[in-house]
Amino acid sequence: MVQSTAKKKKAGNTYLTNFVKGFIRENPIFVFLLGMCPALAVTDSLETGLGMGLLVVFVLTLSNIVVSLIKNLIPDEIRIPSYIVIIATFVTIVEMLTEAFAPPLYESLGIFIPLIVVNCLIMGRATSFASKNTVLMSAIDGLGMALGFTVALMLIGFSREILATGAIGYGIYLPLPVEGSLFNLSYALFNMEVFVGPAGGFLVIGIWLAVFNAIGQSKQRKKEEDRRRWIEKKKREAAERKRKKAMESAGGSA
Amino acid sequence: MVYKLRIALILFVIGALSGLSIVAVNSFTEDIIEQNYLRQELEVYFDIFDLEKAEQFEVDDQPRDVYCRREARGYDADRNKTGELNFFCVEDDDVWERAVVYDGNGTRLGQVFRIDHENAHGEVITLVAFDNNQDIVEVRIMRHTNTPNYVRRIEENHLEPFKGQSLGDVSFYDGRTGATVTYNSVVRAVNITADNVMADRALADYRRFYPDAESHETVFRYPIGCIEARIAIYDNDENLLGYIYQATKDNDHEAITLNIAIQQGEFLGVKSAREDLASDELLEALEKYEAFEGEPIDNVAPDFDETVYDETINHLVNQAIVRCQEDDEARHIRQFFLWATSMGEEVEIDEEPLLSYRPVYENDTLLGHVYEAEIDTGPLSNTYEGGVFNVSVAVTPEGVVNNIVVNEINESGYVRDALYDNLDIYRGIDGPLDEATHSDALAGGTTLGGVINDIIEAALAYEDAREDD
Amino acid sequence: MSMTVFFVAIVSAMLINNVVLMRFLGVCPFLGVSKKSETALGMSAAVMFVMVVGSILTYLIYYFVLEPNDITYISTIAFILVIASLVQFVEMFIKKISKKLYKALGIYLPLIVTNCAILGVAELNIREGYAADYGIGQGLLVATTSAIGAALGFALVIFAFSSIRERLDAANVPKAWKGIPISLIVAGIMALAFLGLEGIV
Repeated sequence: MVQSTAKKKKAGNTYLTNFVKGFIRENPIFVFLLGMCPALAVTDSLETGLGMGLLVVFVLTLSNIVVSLIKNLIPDEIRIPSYIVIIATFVTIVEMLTEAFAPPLYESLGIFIPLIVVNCLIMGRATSFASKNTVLMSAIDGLGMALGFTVALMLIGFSREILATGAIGYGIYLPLPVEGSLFNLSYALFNMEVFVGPAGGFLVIGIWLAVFNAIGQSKQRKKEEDRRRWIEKKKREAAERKRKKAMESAGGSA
Repeated sequence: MVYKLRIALILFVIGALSGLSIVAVNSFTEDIIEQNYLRQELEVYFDIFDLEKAEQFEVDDQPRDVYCRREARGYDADRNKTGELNFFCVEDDDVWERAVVYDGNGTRLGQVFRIDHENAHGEVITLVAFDNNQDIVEVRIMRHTNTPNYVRRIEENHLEPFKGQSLGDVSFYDGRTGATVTYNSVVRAVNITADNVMADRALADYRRFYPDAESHETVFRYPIGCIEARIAIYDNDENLLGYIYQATKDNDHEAITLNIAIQQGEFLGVKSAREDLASDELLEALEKYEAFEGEPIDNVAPDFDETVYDETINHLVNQAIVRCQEDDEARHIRQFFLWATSMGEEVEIDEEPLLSYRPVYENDTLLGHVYEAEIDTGPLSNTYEGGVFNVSVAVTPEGVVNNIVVNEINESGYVRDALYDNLDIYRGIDGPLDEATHSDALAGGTTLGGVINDIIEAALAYEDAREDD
Repeated sequence: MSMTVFFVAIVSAMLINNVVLMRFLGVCPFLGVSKKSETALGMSAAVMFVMVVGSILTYLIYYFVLEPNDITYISTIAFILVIASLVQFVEMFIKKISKKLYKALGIYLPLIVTNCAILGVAELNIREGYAADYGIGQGLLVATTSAIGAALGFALVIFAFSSIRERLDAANVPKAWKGIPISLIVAGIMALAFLGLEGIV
């Protein structure tokens, strides 16, 4: 009885860790540098980044589910071509749906919708995760990874848009009921047009990567420091003990 | 073998399933996508004229008016009409579409020309919208394939200044710093619109003399003198109504362009061709000439001497009348040599591309020869029609080109106008055409300039050979 | 049709609309295999071959199979299959023909399937509408020229980038910036330089 709840709890935990790992620890863009093309090309505004992310959520979750469903039917030789066909099918469907229901998004993402097919993230998850795990796990993995991808795109899009225009527009590309913009800072500082341009994509991702590196490194340093202190403490304690023992034995003999 | 078959079968099943799902989604989204594009396009027109945003569009592809290609009406949520667009066919090659825009109450707001241009970056579609006073409402780039951020910059910095300018007098704001291929395409679109609208406006001008005028054609451009062109005016059934002589002269104050109407020996009147640009003094001075309206031209000999303009106007009117009298006598010959009185027998020649020549005389003096030549280029690339070019070239005995008259040409619109404009450079040429002439003639197009060049070179060579004999 | 069309196509594809720095296609190999200029060149050669042949094949398939049958909406799936099989075929072919060449190019070929520059250029050739502008036959020539230009642009940029990275390794960079972050900044500066070429044709 006790054992089974513990098992359940453990299983719940794996689902959760599996879901959240894509956000920070295994973030596709900032950790694995997967799917860099869309991360650079369609993040000149928060909304296009979000739109691209949502399309990837759709494609990655569904392709992970389908791949995991048929993993036992497909012989090894034709794994890659089958996955390509499955992914390309979902991408084509997504492309048509976007064109029908969010035409401005379709126009602004342009060629990068069909290019989701060759987004390494999707192929990578299909071969390395979905082809080895259960349907539910694969679906959670796909959703989590894609949402992590989306968050990263939104972060980049947000930085670029606010630096270039001083405002964040909404309702322009996505079919939202309202349309407008947030912040509306009109500082000269927030008018660096270079950030919506091609160069801005590289610069912003580079800066964010450095920031995350710095955070990671400082955490690492802290951890090492703690460990060193702990070791020193233990050493001190051992030395103390040794000294005491020596004193005791010396006293005893004396 | 069985294993291989199994693999093939699995691949086939996957392919078939994926194909089926794609076809299913496609059949579901196809109509919506098509509607979206139509809606998007119509919304741009509504946006330009600040019409209330339509919730729903109705498109009528078979409207009542014969000239109208299709009609589109927008309605708001309560089914009230918010605006209407009538799209017309346009014969001009460059203009893809012309739309007249009305608001919900049926008041005409203006027009939009949609102009298509192919440049090194691909297609640029420009919308040029103007109101009923021919003032530009907006110039907008509808579609392009240039670098998006660059076009954004053009839109922000260089299209705004077009707003409110009159089409009759467009000046291009800072074409130098904005001089990119795309910007040039936009400028070209505005020019084409202006040309088209001005042609309409010229017609409105001519209707002051000929109320039934429906079309006009420049039948002859004079090589020298202040009378520039004779314009024939036709009614709805292409019957010739009469002529307008267009005369220009710079006096100390301004460039004066006058339209002088003469109908079968009767003086109909003289008016400024650009009334909107003319000074009040000029318009006042012209009023005096209304006294001659309806008189036979032989009786018209104005000799006013009251304002600074009178001398100029007198001169232009008298010149027009002299031209008209001469035109009536030797209309055909005078297009080659201004003072010609008679033409000799036609002599056939067998030397490609020349067909024949005829001598032209002033009384008994030989003025020169008129060569008729024909070149069939066959169909040309998409900018040009190609086909038969029949051209007459008048050459003086000294071997100098006096005038060129195009008898037959298949080109239309902008290309033809550019070619006609460029014919001027050939006048006075006496030797082989060098590269410079080639390219100059070519503002309108290399291929066509080449055709005219070939004909002129052949005529000059023949004239040269005959002198040697 | 004059030579200018080809010249403009090649300059535009190579420099002005550079695949990597302006269109953001093929960024993964741009960051992934640019640590050494030698591998960068190997990758460029493989990309150039597959890009040009792939462009021709996809163009032909689009205008002779998909468009006449009115099924252009499956172009993505058709193109990726063509490119994947082409890569597979090329791999087998090279293996048979020359062991040396296979050693030089072989490891890059599987990577190319997921190089979005290949599929991207194939899609762009259709979207640019060369067939509508020049007719299907001449359009193919222009599309091929653009593909060559794009591949040259890819090679140019990746070679320059890898040379810079080789130097960067020895440079004294702050710890947090070491590796990919500083490389991205370098790429950003290169993109800025290419921005200056905008609008020259």
